[in-house]
Amino acid sequence: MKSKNSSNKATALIDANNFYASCEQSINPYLRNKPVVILSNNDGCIIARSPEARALKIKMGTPYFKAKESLNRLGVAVLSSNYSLYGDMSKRLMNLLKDFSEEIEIYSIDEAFVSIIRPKDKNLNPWARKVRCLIYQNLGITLTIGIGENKVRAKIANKLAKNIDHSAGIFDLVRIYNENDYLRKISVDKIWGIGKQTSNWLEGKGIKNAKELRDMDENEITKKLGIIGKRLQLELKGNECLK
Amino acid sequence: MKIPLLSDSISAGFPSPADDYTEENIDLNEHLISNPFSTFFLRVKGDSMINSGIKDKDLVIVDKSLTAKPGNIIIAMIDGEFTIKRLSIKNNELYLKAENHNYPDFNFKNHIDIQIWGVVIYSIHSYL
Repeated sequence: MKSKNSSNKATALIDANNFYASCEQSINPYLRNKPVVILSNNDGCIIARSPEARALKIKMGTPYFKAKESLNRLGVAVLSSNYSLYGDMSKRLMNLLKDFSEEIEIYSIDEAFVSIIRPKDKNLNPWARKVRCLIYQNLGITLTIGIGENKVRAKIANKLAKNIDHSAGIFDLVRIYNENDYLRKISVDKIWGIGKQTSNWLEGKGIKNAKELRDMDENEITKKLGIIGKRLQLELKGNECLK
Repeated sequence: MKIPLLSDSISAGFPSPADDYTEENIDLNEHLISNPFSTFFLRVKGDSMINSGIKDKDLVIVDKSLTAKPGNIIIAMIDGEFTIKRLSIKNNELYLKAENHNYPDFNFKNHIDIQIWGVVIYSIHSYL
């Protein structure tokens, strides 16, 4: 278990926005800036939406036969899923990210945890801007990058990057003075590793957000959630302790 | 599949009798593509680039990691379509030039929706 001051390593959670729809828009100029939805196997239901389709309030998971008429009316481009394209783009993305990191752990088709060295006392915004720019030029895909001392905090930072309009898709949780305000924006059920039952228990105790969980009585967490809970709290505090 | 490379260059005059021995195998992917993760293949449709030697149905290799410079042949997106043109500069203004007098040039000033997608690094033409 390393304390946060002895390490200059940072963790970033990098994920692609609207990955399937972005892949399609990237290789088909006709779809650029247009509402696009992708259907699941056998055109069952909507599994991805471009930002333009989101803006039209089209819902994830809607069965296609139910949405067909309104999609038509709204002029939405409807595509069957093309997994060989998404797989190819994912491989390209992950390989390009390797050049920007010490270590990369592919977490899903469109997200990866990346380890980087933090320059002394600096935030990593310039690094993240470079990564975002390069991936956009090379693949036409927009990324969200959240940076923290560990995976739990990188996940939180990623969420903040998505939710805060002026973040430009980047949030470094490490060198900010009003960290508490930001942690309060993350409700406990959105924290990585907290399931439905645990979040119900926490809410019953009056613990509603990441800041309150971080500051909660350590013994109480450990008693209820064991070592996993203790570790989670330590990570929320900024310690590196998974593995 | 690796195909043997017979000689570094083909003399267009008489064949050299010394070239009977193959020296190395060549993988076209390796030979033509230096940035595999940002390189794409596109099929050309139409003859707007005919004077540059790029013909209908040719395959072009496009590297998106390169920043386009004047003189490069590029793939651009104009009004929702891919187009292949030469990036040119005249009187300090950038425009996209077709290599065929029957096609118009596109001035960046008059077209707000031009985006350069990638730089063409090779074209492959079939003689059959």
